[in-house]
Amino acid sequence: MKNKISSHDRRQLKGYIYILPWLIGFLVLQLIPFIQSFYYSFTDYSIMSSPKFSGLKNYITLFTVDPEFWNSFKVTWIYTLYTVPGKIIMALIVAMLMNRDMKGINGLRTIYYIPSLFGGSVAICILWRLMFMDTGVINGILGAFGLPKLQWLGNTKTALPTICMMEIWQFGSSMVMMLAALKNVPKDLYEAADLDGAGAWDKFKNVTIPQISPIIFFNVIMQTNNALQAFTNAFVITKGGPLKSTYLLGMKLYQEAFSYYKMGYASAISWVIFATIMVVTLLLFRYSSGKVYYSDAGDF
Amino acid sequence: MKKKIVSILMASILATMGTACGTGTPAATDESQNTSTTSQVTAANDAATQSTENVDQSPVTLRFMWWGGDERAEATIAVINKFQEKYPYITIEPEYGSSDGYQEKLTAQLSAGTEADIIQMGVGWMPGFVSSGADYFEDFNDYSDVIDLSNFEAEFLENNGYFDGHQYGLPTGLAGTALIYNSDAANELGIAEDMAGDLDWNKIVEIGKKVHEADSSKYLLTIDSTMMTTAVLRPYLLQLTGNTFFIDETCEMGFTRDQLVETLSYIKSLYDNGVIASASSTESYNESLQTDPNWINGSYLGMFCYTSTAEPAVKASGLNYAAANLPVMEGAKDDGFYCNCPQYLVVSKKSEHVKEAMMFLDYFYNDEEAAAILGTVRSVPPTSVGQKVCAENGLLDGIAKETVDVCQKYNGTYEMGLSTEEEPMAIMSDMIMQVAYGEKTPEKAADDAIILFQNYLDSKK
Repeated sequence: MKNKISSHDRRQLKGYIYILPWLIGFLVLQLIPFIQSFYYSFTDYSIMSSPKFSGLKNYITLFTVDPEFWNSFKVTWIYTLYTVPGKIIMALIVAMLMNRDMKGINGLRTIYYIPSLFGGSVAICILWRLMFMDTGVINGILGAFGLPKLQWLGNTKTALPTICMMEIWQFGSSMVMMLAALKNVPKDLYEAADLDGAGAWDKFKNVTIPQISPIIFFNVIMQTNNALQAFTNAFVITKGGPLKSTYLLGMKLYQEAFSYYKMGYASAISWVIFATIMVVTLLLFRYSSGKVYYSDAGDF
Repeated sequence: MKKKIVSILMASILATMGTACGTGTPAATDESQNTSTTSQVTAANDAATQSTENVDQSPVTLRFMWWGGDERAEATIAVINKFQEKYPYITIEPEYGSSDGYQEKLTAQLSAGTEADIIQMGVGWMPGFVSSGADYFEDFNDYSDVIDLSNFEAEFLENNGYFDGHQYGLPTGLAGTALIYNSDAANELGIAEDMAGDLDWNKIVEIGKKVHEADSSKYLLTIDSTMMTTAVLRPYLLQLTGNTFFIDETCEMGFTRDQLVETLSYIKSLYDNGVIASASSTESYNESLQTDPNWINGSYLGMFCYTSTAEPAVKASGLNYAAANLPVMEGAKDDGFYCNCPQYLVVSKKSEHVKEAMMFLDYFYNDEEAAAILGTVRSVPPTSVGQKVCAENGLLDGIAKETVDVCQKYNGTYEMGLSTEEEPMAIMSDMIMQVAYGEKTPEKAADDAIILFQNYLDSKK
């Protein structure tokens, strides 16, 4: 009995040793800063001096005094509402096109996945910026077709959609998941639908969508979370301009923290982002009930 | 249900932790990747090292961090190598990259105590670091036995890098605001005489109108939002009021609402009269106007820039340029413009080898060999040695020297401090852009900005 217990303990110890590097990283680099940031959000902390407790001042300033916050909140939501559906629809369309047996299909799938590998990198953002400059290749193409050139990044109406386009362009990861889900839809369901005289649209609406709804739902959650935290695209391509039309919450957080040294205020912004994500996730779970079909476990 | 809530909470926590990683870390990583080049040259003993025979010569490693282009990097590394040849026991690791994210990186390093020994410092940031009371930098006056400051003009040194009785920074060159114009095009359009004479703000509008009326594709000036703040908004208000934008001693605004409205109305008139092309067409080239095709092809005749960026702008276009006088309004209470420096070099108080860092800076500023290598990569040198060597090598003949000469004619009030910190600069820039884009009237933009300025000043009290 004694030997049995110690062997069990040994196994457990081994397990803990295996996860120790991750655990240390999680505690030191994530959980502790996460808790600290909550404390800092109630302080005046300028990075160059010690934090001083200031109660709810940062939150009150954020919600009642700082007009930039509401602008950033609005911009972030517009960005989310453009990019999440855009990315999922693109992923679904391309996944359906890729879900067929034809020569070279694997190569095509790889090509469509590549933007996701590069996505969000600074180099791609710079490339995107160059493409959409007044003298960039996009205006060159428009000019070749006799169309008027646009000031994509200098105009307050087109700057945000330009940033969104880059995000939507990185639909590869979602596409791969959609493709896997489409391949798992039982063929007999389509055969039954054919026997019932269903058209292509009916099959898509009543068979495909319900069958892949868990994957769509998963993507909605993840893409929404990512979009609400977006930073790199706007920071590199437009620096939040023109006229703060691309000034996402992530950018505001960064600027308050590292340009203006207001770590306490920036922490408050990060907690507002966190709360927003939590509420949105909760709402998505609540309203998905009955709309997401799980073949093996009923509704989520 | 409980499980569901816990899972939602965990998902949110992990997602938000992703924010932290997504915002701070990558930027820091990118910057560190940009600035990680290291050079370690060790050469034979030089005769010069004989003077240090009695000094402890155990190996010393210093870090020197700066921003700038390739030309500056090559010259600085060459000077480091020469210095290492003279003092083989000292190794200097260069850390250089672009100005993008430099301030943020430096701030994080200073607060963590991981900054380089020798640091290139932005002139506008320095007052904030000094006033934080954290005592980050060494006073050069404490090392007068190691570094010779007599080659600097005393008054210039006092106006540049001198804070609360301490010489925390050494200026790297002479610099200021410049107004350059295409002299050939000015002759063709018959505005050469106007541009070569004394200018006031209204005269700029008159000349600009003439240019745009003669050819609707041409504009007298190009300017971005950053430069509009530095070269128009603040000088105009300084001339109008005689006060700096913010009065540091009292933490008050140095202007009234009407004076700010007048200044913004003037800026609006620059756009309305075709003196400057629309903000939307220049915004994409913010802080790199010389890359704008309209500048390169000569559609924009002139540019407000820094004296240190005049030369790259002229080179980019390849046309003939001259330096114009800077505009001063009739009855101005202050010149509005002044000559200062493009950046400082400072030595960290956390450095374990301050003396060696001072030795390097003594070589950097006072050695003829170093001056010859550095040339004008950080603008016209601030020391008599540097200027003499550059003049002998014919480096002080171009537009850089011309613009510095013009700049030195103005003795405006030096306004580094609250007015030049990042946060109010961003508010000023936004306010100007709101007017430039026609989103707000000068009155509305001024009213909204004054609230933000007041919030900022309250936070500084």
